[in-house]
Amino acid sequence: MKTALKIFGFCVTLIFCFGFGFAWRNIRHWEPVDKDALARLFSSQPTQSPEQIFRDSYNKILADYERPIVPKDLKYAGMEGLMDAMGDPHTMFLPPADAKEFSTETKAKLAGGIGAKLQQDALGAKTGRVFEGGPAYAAGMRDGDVITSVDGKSVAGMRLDDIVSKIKGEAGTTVKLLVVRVGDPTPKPYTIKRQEITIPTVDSNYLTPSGVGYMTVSSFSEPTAEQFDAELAKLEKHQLKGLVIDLRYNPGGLLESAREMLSRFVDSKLVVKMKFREGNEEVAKTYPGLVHDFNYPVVILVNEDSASAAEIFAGALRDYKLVTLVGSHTYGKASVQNVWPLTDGSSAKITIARYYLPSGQDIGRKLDEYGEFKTGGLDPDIRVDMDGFDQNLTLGVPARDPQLQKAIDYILSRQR
Amino acid sequence: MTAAGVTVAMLSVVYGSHVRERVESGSPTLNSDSVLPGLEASNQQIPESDFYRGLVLLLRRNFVEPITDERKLAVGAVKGMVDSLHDPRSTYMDSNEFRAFNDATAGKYEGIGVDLSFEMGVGKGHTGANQASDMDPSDMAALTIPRLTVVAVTPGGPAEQAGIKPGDWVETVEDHWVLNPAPVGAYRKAIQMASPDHLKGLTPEETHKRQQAARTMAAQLKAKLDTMIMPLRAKDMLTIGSTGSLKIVWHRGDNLRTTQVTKHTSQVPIVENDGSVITLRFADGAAQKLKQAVTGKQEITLDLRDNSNGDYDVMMQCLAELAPSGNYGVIHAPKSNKNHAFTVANGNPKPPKMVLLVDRTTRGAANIFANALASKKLAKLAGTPSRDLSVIEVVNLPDGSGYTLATGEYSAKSVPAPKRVAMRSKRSTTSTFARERDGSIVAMRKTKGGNA
Repeated sequence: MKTALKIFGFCVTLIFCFGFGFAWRNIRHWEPVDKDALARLFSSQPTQSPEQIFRDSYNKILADYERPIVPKDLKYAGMEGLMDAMGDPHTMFLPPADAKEFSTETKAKLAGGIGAKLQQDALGAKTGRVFEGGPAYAAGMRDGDVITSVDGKSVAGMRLDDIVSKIKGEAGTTVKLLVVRVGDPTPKPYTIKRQEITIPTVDSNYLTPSGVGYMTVSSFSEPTAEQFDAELAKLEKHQLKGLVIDLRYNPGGLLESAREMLSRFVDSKLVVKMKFREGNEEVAKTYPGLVHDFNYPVVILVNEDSASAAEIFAGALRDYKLVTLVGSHTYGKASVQNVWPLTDGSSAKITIARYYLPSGQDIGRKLDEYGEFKTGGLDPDIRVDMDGFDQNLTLGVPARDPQLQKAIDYILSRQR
Repeated sequence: MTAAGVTVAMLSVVYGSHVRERVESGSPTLNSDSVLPGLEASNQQIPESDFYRGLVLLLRRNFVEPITDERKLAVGAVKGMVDSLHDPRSTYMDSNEFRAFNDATAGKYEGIGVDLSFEMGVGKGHTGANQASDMDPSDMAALTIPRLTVVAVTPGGPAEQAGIKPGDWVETVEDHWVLNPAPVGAYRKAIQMASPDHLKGLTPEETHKRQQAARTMAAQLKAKLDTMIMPLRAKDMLTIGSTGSLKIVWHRGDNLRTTQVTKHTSQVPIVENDGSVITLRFADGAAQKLKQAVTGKQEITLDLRDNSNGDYDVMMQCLAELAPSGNYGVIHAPKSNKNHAFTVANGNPKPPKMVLLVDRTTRGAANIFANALASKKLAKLAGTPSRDLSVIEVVNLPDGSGYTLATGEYSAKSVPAPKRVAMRSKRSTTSTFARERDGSIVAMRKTKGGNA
């Protein structure tokens, strides 16, 4: 009898140990045991586990597809598909190259470069803007210069991406450029030491004759709030009749940067309310004691490509009745993402919360059955649509930019 | 005694985790325990399974909504992999599309009764095709944007009654423009002609005329884009479902035709014997029916037209009914550059004389069938078949969806078949233009340039 009890006890212990091993995958993540896995364990006709579905096709395509495939590319394509299956356009897998580009964008930092924004040109690469404080600027290069050769090799006719990657390099190394300037027939050689570059995300321009300050914010990156302050100070050296902040084509970026910039407008006020899974809520408020005195009308330009942090910035300011929105409706991205960097350089971007503006408005984009925009985003106070096919269009030049012109007209109409 | 007990208990823990591993992945793998820590901490290539588990775990813990069906993620991964092949013969189909696909193989056609494919390349009747320059924008558009084209029409189906023919391609469905290269190419061409390089030495009137043309083209394209649907979506509208009526505008050569077609399901027999001609479809059960139809006949005529998605295995069974055992060429796999013998086993030693009716709608398995028989002079081909000799495998997924995978190409001789460059020349097919459009942010940024 006693022996039988012992054997029984031992068997129970064994079963418990087996169960512990079986459930370890879940236990170590503090999750309940996966019911599907249990079902598969006890079923006589086991159904495929989801992981098995993926692996079977991975192996099949690799082995049987008629053309050669790089396993790594197939793996990444699978991961992209997996994340896309969430049905959320902002939840995505970023393969290493994309992840790197994304990280450069949010940090607005380049490991090593000369400090210039380049455009394609027939002779090579034209500097749309040479960043003040960068090494190229210090060496004497200016906006509009054309780089025709890099390290002794002509770059005429090369793709811009290729030229850019030749000019970029590790900080501390040097690059030799041949540069042509309009009105000067002889190309000038420059030897420039690459440095870590902070990419300007804010640009400003005092518009005459209107006397309106025009500021472009191209994204909400790490240094954006600081750059905003610097450009604002530059503009305010003039007697401003008003300020236009251009958020068109601003895809957003860091909520934190938008929050810092909003702190120049409102003190300790709600920026957004975020709702996470399982109903957890969190609010973001502006910081105290940073408010700047804007003693002139402020207009924000938006369009369908203003998204995320740009919508939070514009939407919150409008909710506090501090600005007027001019342009077309915004994108309507009412969700917050977090990015997990993975070890091989790729990363996973996942929607972790939905947000609501101070007024409580949900600006989530809704599409019709054909995938066309139905509702969502911020509706501008003054609607001015632009014809994207108009060849004459130049953003930032009032005469060739109807939305900017409307913003200026509005500011001038409000002068006392 | 106690030590032995503890050892056995520990072993059962290990065994439990091993069984779990097998339940999840089908077969045991190493480093099963290093899932997420491995993803986030080490610095090496991540095996695909760890990647899969790691991402699923991240989503389960963090995604804004709970994940109810993990299978959806796995199937999404499969879709991603198949789509990344950018091969019109290897396509993922959701459960509706896949059902319609399988039904069509068995001669049961939903929708308006057509087989559609995404045709690319500079075809006949396409404007600008006779421009010599290889950088011609119209040709570029034709190489990057597909046309939704009819490859076969179901006999007796709604499309046939509406006069739709193979080669017709879709302009609009229900007044929604279906993305196609014609207006895109025309627009890009007009922009090119109005660019400063092309305006040199022209009179002001001529310059004005060209700029006006570019503006007109832009306006036309913009109007179309406002109503656009993607070809894949249009294909579903035309080929799935048995109810409802669609207004469709078709291109035929240089003309446009408008039709109103009512969807219904039409079933054609797998093997149809009208006394003189046997129509054959390579679907389950076809081999036996074919055997009955040809028994005792000295001469037969087989109709292999409108036969574009036959089942490869069934085709092999049918071939054995009509061909003596032996070698009929090779299946060439361009990846390994290897030829596998294409042989018929348990064949029919005394096949009848055959005439095969073929045309450009004879594709894939049907085409291999015809070419194999013709290569040994067992059959005469009446007509010219297409050049599509692909071996296509069909893979079922547990959620009812599935995909096709091109695994090789038939050749009567052991010479590698010529590669069809046009199909592979561009990475993305259907989505190329859409991405440009959706992502005008990207386009704007690109023109602004790169940071260095």
